[in-house]
Amino acid sequence: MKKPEGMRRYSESDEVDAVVIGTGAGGAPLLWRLARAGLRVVAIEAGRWWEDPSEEFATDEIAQRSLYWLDERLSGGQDPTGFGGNNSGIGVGGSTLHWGAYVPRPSASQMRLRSDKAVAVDWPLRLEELVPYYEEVERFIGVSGPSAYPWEPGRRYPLPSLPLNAAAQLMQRGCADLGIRTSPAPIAAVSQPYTMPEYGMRSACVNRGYCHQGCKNGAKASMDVTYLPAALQAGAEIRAESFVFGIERHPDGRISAVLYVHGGRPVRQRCSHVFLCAGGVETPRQLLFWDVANSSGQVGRNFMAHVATQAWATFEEETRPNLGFPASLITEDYIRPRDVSFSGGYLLQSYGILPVTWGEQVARSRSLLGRDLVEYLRRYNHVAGIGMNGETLPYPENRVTLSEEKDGRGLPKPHISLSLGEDERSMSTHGEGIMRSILKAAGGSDLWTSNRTAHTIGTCRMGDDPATSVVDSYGRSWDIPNLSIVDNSIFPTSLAANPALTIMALSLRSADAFLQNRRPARGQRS
Amino acid sequence: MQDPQLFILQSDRVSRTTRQLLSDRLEKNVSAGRPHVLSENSLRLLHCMIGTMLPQEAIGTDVRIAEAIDARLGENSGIGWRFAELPPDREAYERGLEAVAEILKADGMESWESLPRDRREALLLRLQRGDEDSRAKFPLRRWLETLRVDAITMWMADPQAMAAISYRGFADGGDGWKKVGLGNGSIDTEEQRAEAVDATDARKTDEKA
Repeated sequence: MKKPEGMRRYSESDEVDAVVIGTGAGGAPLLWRLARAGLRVVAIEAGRWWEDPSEEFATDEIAQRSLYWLDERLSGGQDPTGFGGNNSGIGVGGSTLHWGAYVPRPSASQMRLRSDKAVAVDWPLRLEELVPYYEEVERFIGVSGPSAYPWEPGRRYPLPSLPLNAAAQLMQRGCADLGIRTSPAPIAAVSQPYTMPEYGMRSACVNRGYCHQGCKNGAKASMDVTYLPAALQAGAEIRAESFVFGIERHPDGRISAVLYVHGGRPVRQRCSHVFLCAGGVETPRQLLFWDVANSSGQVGRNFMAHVATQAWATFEEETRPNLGFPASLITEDYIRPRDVSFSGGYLLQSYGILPVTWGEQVARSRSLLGRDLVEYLRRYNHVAGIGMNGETLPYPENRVTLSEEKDGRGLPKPHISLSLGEDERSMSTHGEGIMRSILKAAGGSDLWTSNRTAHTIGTCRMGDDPATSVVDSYGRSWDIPNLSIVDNSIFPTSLAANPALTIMALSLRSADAFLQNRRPARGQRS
Repeated sequence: MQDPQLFILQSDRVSRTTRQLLSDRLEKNVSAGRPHVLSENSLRLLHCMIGTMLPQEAIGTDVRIAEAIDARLGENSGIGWRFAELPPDREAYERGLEAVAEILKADGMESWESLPRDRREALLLRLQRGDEDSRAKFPLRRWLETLRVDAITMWMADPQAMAAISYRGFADGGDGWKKVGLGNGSIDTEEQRAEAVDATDARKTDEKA
């Protein structure tokens, strides 16, 4: 996204209406919504502003780590999860620069675990309230999906599905054999040229397959080709390479300014509201560091990462797993499976993969060495996989805390502790069994499993009760009147659906509530 | 005849940005003068362990993996996280390699190389499983996992390895891929290889003019 020459530039001493920290799925939609309403808004982004991905993005996994949050995190607990490229991005567009754009919607049951299953908590809002926002987001960013979605036949997508790659075809074949329903997945990448007045024309997906390394032609719906150009057009300012490290407050406790470093120099931007949208690890880290908004004691707690176990197999046919959209098929048949010991459920997705990412899975989850390892790595062009995205329950002891070590910026490194419970283990085992059956039915051999987790969720959860939650359903902090949090930290349960679509829907909903509640005339703030 | 992979690297199918990057990586492999932090003995042991883990002679590549790891430790670059059980990467490698050297000594072995191949593999497997006691203040198997990830990913990222496994995904040609299903993705035809050679010749002619 080119930096517009006429971008509004607010001065530090200007009390802008809102500072938005982070330009990912949480920050970008509301930045647009607020700017469109005429508010004076500034987004602060830690990473770089990529003005020309077609030139700047290499078709290489190692080089494109520049899109991942590489400040070191310490991963602990019994089931340490991976960070960096596993789930965390940086740059104008945030983690959407490297997301896989997989956008199933959650079902109502996923928001009602307490009522339905007597575990965890319910969301303090119903699916019905989010549906109009899902529809709006899907239309705005251009989601490609099937015309008759098996698990909600009335649902319509603005664009036809993307082509299925080899992994998807194999999963389809295996599932057909076993009587499991599948469908092309809803994917936030345009299957045809797509135009929105707010951001112009985007070209169709060319199946390059380096989606997790940054889309070069804007087909994948990252924030920098959708909500952010729209926000700039509406008068927002975006400041890149600016790292937030603190806030200042009025005597009454409200935030008066956001502090950040840019070009080695500390900057103090005055503002009347802050939207903290820095993601499931960085948002709580900042709050813990500032030592605010935590009367509930829940900041950092209830860290969840989806059970993301994968199964891999080798096939006679060449699969060339780098081609096409990595995950292009879905089944939701296991969202609420019967006769199981776990509370929630999972979706399954087909998996293509790039060589270095695959190599890392092989390194961690297979013990092959010597010639056996070399011979297996040689089979890359014949592998295909399936992955699950399973509901993980919130446990207060799974949490983000500040470690004793300092990072290169002088802030304490976050320590994340994750230990899966019996619920998650039995879900993983169940999913593993199903995935392996599918791969075998499709003709796969040399099956193996990678037990892993993905996404960073739940660390500043929303709720109806300030004693047990950090924010309300609109992301408003119970403790600080002019602080809102809008990213996957606020999810009270993980859902089985991948988080980003819901983050964007919540972002718009929070923005609308904010706009409704604002005092109309300037100078009349309390 | 030169490796067709390297032809493709030079062809118009590879973006300028990617070509520069991959060429640099090939060149770095050959040249000396990269930063290093490990002692000579530790580096040698690391080289041997990696040689057992991933015997490149079995596939005809010569990626200097141990040197690449040493350089990354020197540059303090990482993947954005480490196991909380491990100290920072550099210390984990230094202590880990010392621990392995001690294990060899305790077994009466001069060096990793002095072990016959099957015993080297058996030892590596035990280390990976955490079945060897050591004086390191962290679980060795966690460090071994880090080592496995470093070794395998650094190998896979090298254009030599990509050629060895017939990977050409980096040659996305700007137009991307139109056929992605089973049986449709190959660009191994004579026609396409010839195309790549022609493009290289054309460039050479242009450069001379």
